[in-house]
Amino acid sequence: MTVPLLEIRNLSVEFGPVSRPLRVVDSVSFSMRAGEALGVVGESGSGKSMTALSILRLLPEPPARVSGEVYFNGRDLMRLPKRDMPAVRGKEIGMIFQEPMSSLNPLITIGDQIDEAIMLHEPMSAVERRERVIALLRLVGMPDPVSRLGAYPDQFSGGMRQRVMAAMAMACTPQLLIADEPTTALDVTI
Amino acid sequence: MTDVRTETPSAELIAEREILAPEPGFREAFSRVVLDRPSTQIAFVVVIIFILVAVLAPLIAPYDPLRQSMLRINQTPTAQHWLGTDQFGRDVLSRLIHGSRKSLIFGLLSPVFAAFFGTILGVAAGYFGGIVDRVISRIIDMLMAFPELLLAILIAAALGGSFWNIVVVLTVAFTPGFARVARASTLSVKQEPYVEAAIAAGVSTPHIIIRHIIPNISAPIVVLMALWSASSIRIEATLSFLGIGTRPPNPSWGNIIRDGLNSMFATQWPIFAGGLAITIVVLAISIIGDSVRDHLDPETNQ
Repeated sequence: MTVPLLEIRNLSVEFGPVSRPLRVVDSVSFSMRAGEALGVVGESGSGKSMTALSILRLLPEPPARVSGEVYFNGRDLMRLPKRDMPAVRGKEIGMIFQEPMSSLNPLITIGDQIDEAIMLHEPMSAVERRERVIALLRLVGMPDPVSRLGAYPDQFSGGMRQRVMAAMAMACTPQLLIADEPTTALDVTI
Repeated sequence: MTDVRTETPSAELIAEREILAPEPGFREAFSRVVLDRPSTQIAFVVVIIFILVAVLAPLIAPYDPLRQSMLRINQTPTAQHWLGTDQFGRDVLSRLIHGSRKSLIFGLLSPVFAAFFGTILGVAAGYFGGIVDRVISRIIDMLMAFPELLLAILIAAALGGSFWNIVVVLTVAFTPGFARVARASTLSVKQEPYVEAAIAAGVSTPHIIIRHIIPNISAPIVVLMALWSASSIRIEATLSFLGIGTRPPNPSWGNIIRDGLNSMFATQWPIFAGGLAITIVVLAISIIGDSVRDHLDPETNQ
């Protein structure tokens, strides 16, 4: 177990003209082993989200310019061809976003939305996938998950939607889960 | 979200047991759009009647719409011919009934095709941006520089006026509008966090477009379809009137008026009947289109 799960070296993100760049992430380096949890703390605008997004290469390039190395299981994600990224996203690295109110498609039931990632990444039958979705909803503390499969996002409160988001991120049992301020905009009682 | 809650449970109850609103099904949406206003109810019934008439045309038309009779030219309405006869002695009511088939098929078919192609072009331009966007947008700008009718006349004159040519003509004339709307909506939906979340979940681009983009931009496209069904009927009638639409002797509302014009001083009934039929249907479809738009866009209410 000498190879770390995630190792980031000199990760930088720049915007703006090359001659006068705006550096939003400046040479970030850290590493994590499997089973570890790492918290990144900083004031707003300090680049936490940018770091998270650039690990999964979700920043549109251009206008962003991302440099550095992101080793995941010894493989440099920055040098992976773009078309190979969907296989990594969701399957190996899951991500929970900041805005629970708008991070779910309003026209698709939560059951189908959680199922989407499983359907794409795992060779499972529809019945197995349904079982997995129910188990995931139970895992995130959704009461009565079976009857909630057919519910739409607008029928849930923000906290419940964030649980659905968490279930989506964990749907394919990723090795790494990136949570970008998952409790923003939620009340403390949940 | 709150208006569907009938009882007011305590705060703990809400927190403990998630409120499940009744699913906004098709039936409820339908009743809200159609039954809300009396004008929409009437418009809806009118459209249904015209569709039934078009479907059942051979059964309910009292005469063959093409049969001429020298003994009965230019009659005013009688018990045998409710809307009179035209310059060749053909029954105007029968021609109107058979003509409704052409008009309604054009009215419904072309906007559907245009919506299909326009949405593909618009979503491609909006989602991929860059060079794709620039090429598609310029072509659309070019087509938009022509008024729809002028474009329709141009293509009809070049290709001739067969059934499918007119459908092609109207589809080409309408596609730019749909593409514009689809592009603009795609640009805003693309920014939504759920699209980003789907990308982060490893969903591929075609999947994102089909499952996340297109369903969320469908509302304005459906409204546009309803509004342009009316225009489509009108333009088909105009083309037929100008002699480059439906070929005589086949009846269409446009060439019923055209034929009526030749004998205008003998009988006014063909012009009157054809014009009224077009007015009623276009008005009814426009009212439904307005209602759907008001329903989908709460800001225009009242």
